Amino acid sequence: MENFSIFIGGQAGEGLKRGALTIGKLFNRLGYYVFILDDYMSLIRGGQDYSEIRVSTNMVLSHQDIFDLMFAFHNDVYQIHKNKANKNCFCYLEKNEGGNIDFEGIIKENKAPSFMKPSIVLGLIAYIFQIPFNLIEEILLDEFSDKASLNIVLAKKGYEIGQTYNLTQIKITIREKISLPLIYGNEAIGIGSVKAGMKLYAAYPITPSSTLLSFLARNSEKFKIIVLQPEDEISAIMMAIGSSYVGMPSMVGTSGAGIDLMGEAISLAGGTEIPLVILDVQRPGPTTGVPTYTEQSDLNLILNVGHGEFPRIVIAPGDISEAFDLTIKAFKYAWWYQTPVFILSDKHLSESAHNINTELERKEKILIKNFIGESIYKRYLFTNDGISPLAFPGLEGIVNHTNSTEHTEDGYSSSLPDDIVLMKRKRYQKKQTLQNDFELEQTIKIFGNKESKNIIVSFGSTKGAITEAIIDLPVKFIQILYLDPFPQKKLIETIGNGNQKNIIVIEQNTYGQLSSLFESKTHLYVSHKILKYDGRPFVPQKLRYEIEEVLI
Amino acid sequence: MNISTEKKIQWCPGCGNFGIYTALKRVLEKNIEKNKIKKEKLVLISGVGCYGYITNYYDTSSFHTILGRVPPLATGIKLGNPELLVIGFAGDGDAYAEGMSHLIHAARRNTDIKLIIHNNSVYGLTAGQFTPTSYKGFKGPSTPKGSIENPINPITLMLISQASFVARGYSGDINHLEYILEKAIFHKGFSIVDILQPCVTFNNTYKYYQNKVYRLEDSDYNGFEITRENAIIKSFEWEEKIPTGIFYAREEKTFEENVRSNLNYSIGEIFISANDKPQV
Repeated sequence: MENFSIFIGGQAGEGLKRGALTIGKLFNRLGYYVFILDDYMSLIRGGQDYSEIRVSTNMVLSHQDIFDLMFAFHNDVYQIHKNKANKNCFCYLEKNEGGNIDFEGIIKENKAPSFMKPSIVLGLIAYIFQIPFNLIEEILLDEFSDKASLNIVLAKKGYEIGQTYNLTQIKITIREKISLPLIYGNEAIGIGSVKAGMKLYAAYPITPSSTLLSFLARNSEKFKIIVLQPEDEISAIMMAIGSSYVGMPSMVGTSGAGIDLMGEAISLAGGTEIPLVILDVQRPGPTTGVPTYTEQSDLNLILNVGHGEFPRIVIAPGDISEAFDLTIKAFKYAWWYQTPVFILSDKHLSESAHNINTELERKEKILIKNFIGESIYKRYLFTNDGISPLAFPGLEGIVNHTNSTEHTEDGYSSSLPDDIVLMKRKRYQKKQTLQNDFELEQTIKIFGNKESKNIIVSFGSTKGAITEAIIDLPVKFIQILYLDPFPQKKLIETIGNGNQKNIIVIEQNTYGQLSSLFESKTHLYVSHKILKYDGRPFVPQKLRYEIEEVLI
Repeated sequence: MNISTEKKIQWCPGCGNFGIYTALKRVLEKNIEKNKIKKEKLVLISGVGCYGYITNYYDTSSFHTILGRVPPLATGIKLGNPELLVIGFAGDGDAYAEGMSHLIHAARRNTDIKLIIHNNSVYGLTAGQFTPTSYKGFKGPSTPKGSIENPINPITLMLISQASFVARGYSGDINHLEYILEKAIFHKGFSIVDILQPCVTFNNTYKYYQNKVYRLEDSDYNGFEITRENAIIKSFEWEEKIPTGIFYAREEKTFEENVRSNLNYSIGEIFISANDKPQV
């Protein structure tokens, strides 16, 4: 078997996510690339959660939503998803609920907590795939170190069940171990930010961004950074603005509702020209919505949040390698242009995992236009490119007046027409500079059939499903990486004669926000929109059918 | 030395802001001359209000920020560069209405910032609305029949929120203010000085306060030794006489000391200059 998916389903509290990761690492060890999707409800106990571990000989950027092997700790979760079992799927369900594997019994016998159930699955997997048991021990020791022993006992039990019941075995070739790290989207963003030079992360817990807060908090000593959970989102962004003001690269992370709360402070950062990186991990809205599922409906918000006019950059990584690379870019641009930069992610990107193909050890310094002390320092000096030289408070001879009221070049408050116009022109000039500079940046990526009349346009986490869905289809896929400045020139060039093309926009929201943005910027007509807004990410095979229906 | 800028001060004649401005100016100049404060390490922050323009009048680095958000901004600054002396100005509307939550959390985390509250019990710059410290029955443009809410006592509030330095001042007693502000600035940890001031235009409490305030330092009350519980009880005193001075002061490890204990890096490790001559 070279490309298959494993389902592990149960209740919240039964260790599914950790279990899925451990299984994923096992298959990496066996030489297979892995993609993990965690589908979980907004509760701490109960419910019907599951994880998919997709295993493949090639790098995969999406789940399949079709299973070849299913393990279920409860009947209800199995009933919900059993229609996704492949025709030769083997299903192993809890004995007490109509199945054949005594997960509950083994847990009770060994006085183990419920969250260790996935270790039994690991043992079953070892038997089914004829994996030497010592590899299982290795993986468990690696994953759980001094807490591994009970997990190993349970895995052994799982293996013995396989033997006792003579479960069907599946042949798998053991290949060279995959050395590309298997990491979650939020971890990639976290590691990227640290590599970029971030020293302060402030966030208020909100799904699906809180896993980044936890990841950075537990590694704060190793990464040598400050990680803060203040009383609310407004405090978080204000602290980050304060630390940025004095030269400490900072980031805040949240979801849509948090961005709403941060609105005024975003305007503050833009207007006072403070470098800041702001992460929005989108989830279905509006309002509380569906906290643990995915959507791409904050696009319009991120493009506009913060009253008044000031330049911004909006970056949308499409996979976990890009999440790492583009986070580094976010810091680079925030500090060069001295303005807020947004990273637009979503639950699917941030909380899924796959092997990433990028150099994690890179460490780059952040380039800044700093003041070299030739004259009296003016924080908002008018310059040709709109970017004023930076001098941080604390340096001898430096008086840095940063001012949220409109101001003179020295930063004193002013309401005089000439002063107002000067500053607004300066900020506008910065926006122009940004736009011009970005002609040189890679703002889009192209996949598929470059000559095709059928053109798919999308952004963000749909990338994984789209690139897989279009294999061997007469389709060109343009992935937009930067939504602001919007790359209309590049798009128009790439698309060629728009009249003869069939432009299909794919996105996860109801109003077709990217579609409208695309049309208004390029003046090209979108012929079809493929929208999905049930909280679940696109599935490659199903998306392929939808695309086939609209091809010309 | 002279820490004032050339900018013309735009407050109403008789405004309490002048008293506060002058007291702090004297404290800063005196200590800069003695080399106890380095001018370049000073960062003054202000919120929105008439007092907000105060950052235009001191020749130090400053951040004139949005309403209610001085405390977290100040904490961010102190975390970003612990060598800085961070002094924040906020009005009573700014600190006790919009920014009430931040204030309480700043106090309980003992962040090493010094807050000066311009408490005139009115929103002066927006022409006279009531604030959380206005007396019940206050008639303003939004409460023409008189406000129906009870005012809060900021001293009690801050003491209960675990603030490590709590004082009250009066803008009409500049010498006392100098004493209080100097103590507040050199206090290690969170310090808040709530300064009663008249607003000559919208809430002229000059006569009212002049007759009632007295200095705690003139009695045998000692804020540096009293228990927090007793300080809280003392803070209830208001009806007959209004105590001003240091209610409570005790030093403990600051938020920034705790948070930054592992951090040790130089700015040159993070940034590279676009100019040839290295500056950062």
